Amino acid sequence: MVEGRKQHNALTYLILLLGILLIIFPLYVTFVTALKSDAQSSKSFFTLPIPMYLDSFKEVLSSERYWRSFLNTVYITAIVLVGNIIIMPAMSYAVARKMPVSKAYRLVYYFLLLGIFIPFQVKMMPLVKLLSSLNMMNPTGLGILCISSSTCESVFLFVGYMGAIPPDMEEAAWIDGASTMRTYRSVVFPLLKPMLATVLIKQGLWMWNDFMLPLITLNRGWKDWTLTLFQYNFSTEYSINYSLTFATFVASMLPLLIFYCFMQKSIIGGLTSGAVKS
Amino acid sequence: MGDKSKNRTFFLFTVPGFLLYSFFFIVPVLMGIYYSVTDWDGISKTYDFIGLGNYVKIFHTSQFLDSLFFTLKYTALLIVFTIVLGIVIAMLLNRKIKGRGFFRTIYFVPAVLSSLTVGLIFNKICYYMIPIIGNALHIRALSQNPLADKNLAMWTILFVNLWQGLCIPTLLFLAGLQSVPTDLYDGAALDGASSWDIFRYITLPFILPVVSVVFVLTLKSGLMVFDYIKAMTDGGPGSATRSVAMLIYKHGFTQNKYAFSIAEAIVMGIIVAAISAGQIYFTDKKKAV
Amino acid sequence: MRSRNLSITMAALLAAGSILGACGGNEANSQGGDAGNTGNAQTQAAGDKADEGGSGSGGIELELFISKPEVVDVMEEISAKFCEENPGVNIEVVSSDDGRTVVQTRAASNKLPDIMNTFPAEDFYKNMFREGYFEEITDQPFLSKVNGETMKMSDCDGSYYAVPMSLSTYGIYANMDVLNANGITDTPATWEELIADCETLKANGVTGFLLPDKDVGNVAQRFERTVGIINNDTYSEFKKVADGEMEAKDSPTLQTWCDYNEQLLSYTTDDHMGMDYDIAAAEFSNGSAGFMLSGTWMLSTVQKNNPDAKVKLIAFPHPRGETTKVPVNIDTSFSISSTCANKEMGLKFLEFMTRQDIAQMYCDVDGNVSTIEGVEYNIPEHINMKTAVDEGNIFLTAVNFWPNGLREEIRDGCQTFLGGGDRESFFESCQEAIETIYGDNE
Repeated sequence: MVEGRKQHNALTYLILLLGILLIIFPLYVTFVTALKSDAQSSKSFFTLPIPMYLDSFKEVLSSERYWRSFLNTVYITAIVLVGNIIIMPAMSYAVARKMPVSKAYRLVYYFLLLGIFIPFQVKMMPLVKLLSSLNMMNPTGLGILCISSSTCESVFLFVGYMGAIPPDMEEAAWIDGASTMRTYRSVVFPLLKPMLATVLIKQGLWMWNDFMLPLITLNRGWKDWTLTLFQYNFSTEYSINYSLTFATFVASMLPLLIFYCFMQKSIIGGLTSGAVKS
Repeated sequence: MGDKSKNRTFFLFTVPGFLLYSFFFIVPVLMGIYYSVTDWDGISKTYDFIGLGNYVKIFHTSQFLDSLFFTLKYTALLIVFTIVLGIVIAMLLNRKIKGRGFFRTIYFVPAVLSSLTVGLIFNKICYYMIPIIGNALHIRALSQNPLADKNLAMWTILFVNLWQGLCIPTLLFLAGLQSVPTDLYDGAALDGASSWDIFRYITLPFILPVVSVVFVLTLKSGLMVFDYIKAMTDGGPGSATRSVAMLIYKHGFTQNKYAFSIAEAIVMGIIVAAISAGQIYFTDKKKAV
Repeated sequence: MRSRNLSITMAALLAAGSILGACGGNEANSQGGDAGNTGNAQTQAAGDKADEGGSGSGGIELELFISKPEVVDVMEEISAKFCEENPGVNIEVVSSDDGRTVVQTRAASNKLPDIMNTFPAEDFYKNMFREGYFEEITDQPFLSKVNGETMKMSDCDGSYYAVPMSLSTYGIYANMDVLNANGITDTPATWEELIADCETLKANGVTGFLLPDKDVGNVAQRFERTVGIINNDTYSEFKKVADGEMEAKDSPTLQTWCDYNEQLLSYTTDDHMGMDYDIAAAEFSNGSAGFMLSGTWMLSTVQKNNPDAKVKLIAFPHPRGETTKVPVNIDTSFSISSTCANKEMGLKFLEFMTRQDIAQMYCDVDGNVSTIEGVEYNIPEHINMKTAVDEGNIFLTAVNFWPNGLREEIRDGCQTFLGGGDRESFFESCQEAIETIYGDNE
């Protein structure tokens, strides 16, 4: 029995380590290529960067555009996350609780679900027209737009999660004389927190890394760029220089990697706890 | 106090999101549907109403159907691999082994990268490094850029998609596994049940709801696949990896058949909705039984 | 727990308030707020000041959009010079590789860049001229400084909307280091000589041609330019195919295209189907092959990659031995949009671009043949092209006559053929592409 378990564990390690190799290898290559000069890379792509070549990194990191793009990305992502916190749980609470009794709310829910099935291309150009007529072709406008784009998926996830929460506690609070607003704030919202974490991480990652929406709405000069746009425009300009190209890749993914290193426990914890009841 | 105030609060909760969604989501979609029955080229200030002409034209050549076939095949493979590999990796990560936290952390890293960056990185890897590895290991198929080969290109894109796309499903499965009561496992072990039986009769029923969620999410991402293909093959070689989203982009943005491309997108949306509705109906029925 | 929730809600509300404020108010200000945190606070502040100036009194803020990333640096220099001579003007240079998408979305939003580069001979831009997206400049005196032939090419229904600055020419780049090292001293002038040179290189184990066949955009361009060399008027030939007077498989031009590519494929690398254009350009610069098909725009890439490379652009000899003409296209042209913030200053900038010293400055970097009077063409690598242009031994390339989208439709079949596909399916895909696109554009 014990013997078999040990064998099992060895196999588990073997497979998991193999997986780690697969995950790490492309990242390793990306990092070392960024840290080698082109001459070093052309000898071998796989060796460690000795001596280390920092010029490419310096060039990317000293670019004003990089930092501006970084701040824009943070700004837009923050708008999307805040919007999601304020709007989605409350809306989903109302929809989930009223759906069984009210046809209107049921319609609202199906109306929202419809959005999941509509390909982005259908609304791409109309969006451009709409946003520009509202003077919203800027990071703030994109942030607000993305809150509305995240509505379907967020509400879909929240409503599914609410279904698994029995209404007993809210009813108790309500009988105690608490207002609906108060019941929501002190009972429902805390119960929704695990799912909120899942939703925020998903929407945050999506927004941070999205390419198409920024490309069509934020192309009025680098002051509006996000990191993905920066990376795209910068690397096409220097596409023959792979040290610089890979340095741009690294620089554009670094902020989120660092953030993840610090927050990985809460991120993984948040994602896992949210899905339990879905 | 009473139902009235409750209803009012619920109403207030719903209104902001509903309005925002209607305005920035549904209005553009309706505009898009309107364009699809015109001959707008994406640039002109004027255009004419042409009825369902664009919809009829979609099926004049085999392009749309070919892309659709590729997309469906790709999506089916993506779903199967995502669910099978996701469950296997989640079960491995759920074993009580040393360094479990470390493994879990690393296995989620690809999810934080942008898919465009991932595509561009793998594009370079495929040209510069795969042939070196293929030659060293004497694997004939990998002695050249796999993206250059009609048959291998799709598998390479699929691999890259899984490399990144497996992370979140795996975590969702991992979460699902936490909901299996441990005493059930202990009981089964005492009864001498085989590992397969334990998985089939204990684990699977508990994670089935997660499978359903992962199915829908993967279905959507597979049917809309664009970034990886754009960054790696641009639909080639020939049209071997042209997904419907790539086709729509090509028609709308390189050939100025804008209204036509929207019609294609709408047909695609209807197909996706039909598949999803079928899936939801099927799971609901299963639940009822 | 409760108090934490409350603080989250409060923070959220505050943030929401600031979003709404920013939305209704001045965007530049809210952006300026977070820009203060950057390491470049000072330059940023200066930039913001200029922003305010643009909307307020005095200063003029113009956006210059370039879809050619390789000339961004020189355009920034030129803009700085312009601003120096015109105090109170500030020009911001913006570039994007995905130019067409950007232009299309910007047009849809009715806010094209103030000044931008256009391709006046192409259908896509001609349509935009007709729609009134750009200012007509027919009567501007500075147009007289542009070469007359080129002006004719940029004509749109008898009016002008763009100042053409340079002509790109297309042919074969020869790496003279590689050729000389293998005992070839002269560049080939006929198809037979070209093939003979490739044979010599092959015998010495050197790659003759680099064909970046993974890059479907490059495949499309190669097809379009070279079928034009085979038959200068492919529009009419393909029209016959579309009208059912001829089948694609009987098209002499398409047949010759297949013939010459089959020949070249035996002198290329094994991994040509896996090669992107940027990789091919880099490898070519570093001397890994004798020849590569490209146009004048590649020189700056070659030089950036290997400043010591000795290359020469020669005409692509007619594969059937008939007379060879060089395909040209209007490359850099500048237009001002009808939404330009200050049209007077926009016109002044166009005039500035045609000034001899400025056009010279641009030409030296761009590498294309300048069309501006008095500009000396100092690029020895392109001397053959200059001769062709001077002698009028050129033709305007096919894409300007083809119906919109043909190049993008036909390229998949071309790529399949280059990847080892058979002729029959190539002709079939051409037949379908030509019928579809000619039909669409009727």
